[in-house]
Amino acid sequence: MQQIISELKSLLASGINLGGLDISRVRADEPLFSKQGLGLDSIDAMELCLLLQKRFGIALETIQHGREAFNTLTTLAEFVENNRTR
Amino acid sequence: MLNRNDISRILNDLFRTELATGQTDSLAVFDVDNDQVWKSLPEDIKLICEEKSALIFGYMMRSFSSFERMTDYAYASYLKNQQINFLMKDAAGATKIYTHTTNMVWDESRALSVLFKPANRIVSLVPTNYFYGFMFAVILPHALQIPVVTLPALPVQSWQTLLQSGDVVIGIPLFWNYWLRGNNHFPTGVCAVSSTELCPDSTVTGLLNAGAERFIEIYGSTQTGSVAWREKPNSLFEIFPFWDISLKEKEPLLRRAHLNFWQHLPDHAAIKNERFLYPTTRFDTGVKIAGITVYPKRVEAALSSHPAVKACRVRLMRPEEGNRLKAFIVLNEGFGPEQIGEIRSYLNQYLTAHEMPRTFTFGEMLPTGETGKETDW
Repeated sequence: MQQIISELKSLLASGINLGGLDISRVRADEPLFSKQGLGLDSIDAMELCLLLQKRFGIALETIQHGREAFNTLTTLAEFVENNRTR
Repeated sequence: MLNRNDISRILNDLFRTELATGQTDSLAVFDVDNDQVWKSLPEDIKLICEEKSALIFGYMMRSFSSFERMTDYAYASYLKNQQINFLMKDAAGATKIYTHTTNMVWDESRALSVLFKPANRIVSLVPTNYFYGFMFAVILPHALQIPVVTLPALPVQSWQTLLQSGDVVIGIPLFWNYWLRGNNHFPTGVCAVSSTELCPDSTVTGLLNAGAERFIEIYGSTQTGSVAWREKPNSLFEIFPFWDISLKEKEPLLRRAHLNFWQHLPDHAAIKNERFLYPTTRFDTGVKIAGITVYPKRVEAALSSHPAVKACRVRLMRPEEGNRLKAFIVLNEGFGPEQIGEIRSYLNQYLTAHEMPRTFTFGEMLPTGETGKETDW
């Protein structure tokens, strides 16, 4: 799991403009879509979808998947582990 | 006439928009459940929603014990007032209210429905508390007497199974661009729609190559409503028949056929043959981020109020740079670029997610060219 979280951090750092935020200092349990965490927004959600598709071959099949998966780096890593096709 | 369910959808989208712009929770991106949204609203955002709901539906602001109570009240107000207001922030950050009466929206819906017949479903990817979403995802389904399906605006979904022949899919240029980057394809018989800002010709061509049977672009604004439409990239927009046009002034003026006041087009525009136009530049200094107008000058004002900032400039990124605002900052003596985290936290108090610059560049002075005039960076 830790390896996927590291991989996700690299993916986010290279694929999403985080406005100078040092992602290595972001905890895995911090919310992704909140000012208290990474502060991602709806545009970033679209970018993140494309990154997950490209790197792990993942498509969000239901809204509920997205709601659960995009909560924190930990939940996203769990989602990747269970749904990756590559 | 709107029904109670329409009012409920508009309120739900208002809450989700406020959560999203406040960057409070991923609910705003994904969830569509009324009770969950209501229960998850922090008190400060609930207050903003109650204030905006009162402005949208035209009643004295008050608090509600539940989502259902708020919906009941808003619906009763709508039935009484026979109009709905749309809210926009101007360059100074003040809320401007644009009223659309029931007569106006039904006139408009009759002209729009001609464009889309025959259609089986509206598939909406846009919030209904903004005029575009309201017109196309609330009113148009009534006018065409077809159902509406709401999906999250995420580019990577099983579009081949989610969409079906006869669908009219309501999106914005930014979404369509991401949708194409996801290597998606339409099933046969789908019409894609875009508005809020001009859709690049490359995106339109891409959607048609991806199997869209038709692509329709609507030109308009919250202030005017739908003004004109086009179906081909790199072509003029045809003005809807419910508008009269006057070319006597320096700038063309519009008047709804049954109303007695003239108003400007949303932008400077070239008019051809009285019924065709092409928008050129905006009247104000706003730019679009994901279909929402934001004002770099307002962001500069917020940035300038931070004690570390001596001078700054904010602008929209060029397409090759991204789709956000970027900032150039000259710091006061004693402050260094390591302040960026503190500056971002400070801005978070005043700016929405789309207003927040995503790139910060520091320099000793604002960038200027050889003549001393300010330049791009």
